[in-house]
Amino acid sequence: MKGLLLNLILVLSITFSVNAQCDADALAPACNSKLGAFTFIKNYKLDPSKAVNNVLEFSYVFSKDTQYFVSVCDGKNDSPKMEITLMDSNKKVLATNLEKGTYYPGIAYKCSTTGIYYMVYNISEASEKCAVSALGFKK
Amino acid sequence: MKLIKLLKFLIAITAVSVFVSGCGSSEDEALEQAMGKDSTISKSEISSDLINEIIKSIPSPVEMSSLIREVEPKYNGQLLNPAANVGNYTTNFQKAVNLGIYGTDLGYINMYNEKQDAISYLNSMTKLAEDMKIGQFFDYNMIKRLASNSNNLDSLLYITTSNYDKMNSYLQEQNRGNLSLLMLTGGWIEALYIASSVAEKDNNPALYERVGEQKIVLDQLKILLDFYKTDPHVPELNLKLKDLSAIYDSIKITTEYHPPTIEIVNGVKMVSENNKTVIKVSKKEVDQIFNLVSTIRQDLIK
Repeated sequence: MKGLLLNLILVLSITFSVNAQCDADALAPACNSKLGAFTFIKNYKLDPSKAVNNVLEFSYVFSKDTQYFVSVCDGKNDSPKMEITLMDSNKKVLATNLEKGTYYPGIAYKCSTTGIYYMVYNISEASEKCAVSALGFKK
Repeated sequence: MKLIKLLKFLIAITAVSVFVSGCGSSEDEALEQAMGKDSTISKSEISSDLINEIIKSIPSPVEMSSLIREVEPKYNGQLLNPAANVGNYTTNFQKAVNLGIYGTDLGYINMYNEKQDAISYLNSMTKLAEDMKIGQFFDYNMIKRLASNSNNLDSLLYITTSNYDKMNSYLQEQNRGNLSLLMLTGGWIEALYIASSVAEKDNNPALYERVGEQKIVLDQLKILLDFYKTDPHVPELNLKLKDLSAIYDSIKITTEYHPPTIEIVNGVKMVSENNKTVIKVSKKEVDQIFNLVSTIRQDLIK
């Protein structure tokens, strides 16, 4: 019984330790620099401890006649294996960064309908689960 | 055996917690409906996570300032809440709302690279943040340095957004989320005031549309304000926004849906939405919005 209890404590300690290691803030400046001609709006921390079934979801009101760029960075890979899915206010899938097995590091999205859009990140395939996403805009 | 009993006890407690937390309030249900969420999440999670999610979904006033800068190349400091007004704000309500208002003003100032005004507004914002005990998240020296350099707009936006996110999280943790929402609402009102003021003067169709589409953001804000209705100042503010909402009711937004176009350009996936959206907003409606938002703002900044 003592052994089982120790194992349980060990597993919990490792879980908490892994979660505490995700410092998405440190990844943000390099990720923001990838926005190029897009003006920075905000960062989304992709913290695996906050993921539900390896998925993290954020929303933002996109404006008509504005182009947005959603990028993802893990600090190690140029194109992290993280699928970004962009959905409209009815949760209809509009685009993903995954095309024929290739993960693109971001999606440039030209918006023609003002409304709430969802950015859904799937980290299940990623080698580095802790990452950051940057959102930028341009007219 | 003791461990098994302990596990059974933990399972029982968890089951009771899940059952109790499943009985959500009407505010939670409204929030869930607004964000299309599953209703099986616990009450505490719904409250903090969903509120944070809606707060984060509200567009940055910088987008509005950027459009204004495009339409009106001349800086107009007269549009802003004077930085010297900072001494008038004594209650937490006034401080939070005006911290948001000054934040939008600073965004507008930075778009025009008006360094001297940027420092004045930074000083006022620092005072309000310190009074509200959130000054530790306001990196004055860094923001001042970046605001003094015209090539650092993105870094400046990153620092100010990051500071705001930290303030927001801290206020939520301290059960002072109402102040966070008041900052957000103040910032939005100021952005709408500046935009409708410039739109009214310049008769610019893009700004008319941008003012009209705030209908969507206003709906989000009203949901958030309803959630904090126990704050003594919130119902009055919410009532004013509901008056604004009555004007917005006549603005119709229609969309004709078409499939998007996808192409890969220089290693970047480009997706173009091909929907046709019409925002029907007249000069009369923009004038009405400007007049009402001016009155609401005047009450807040005096």
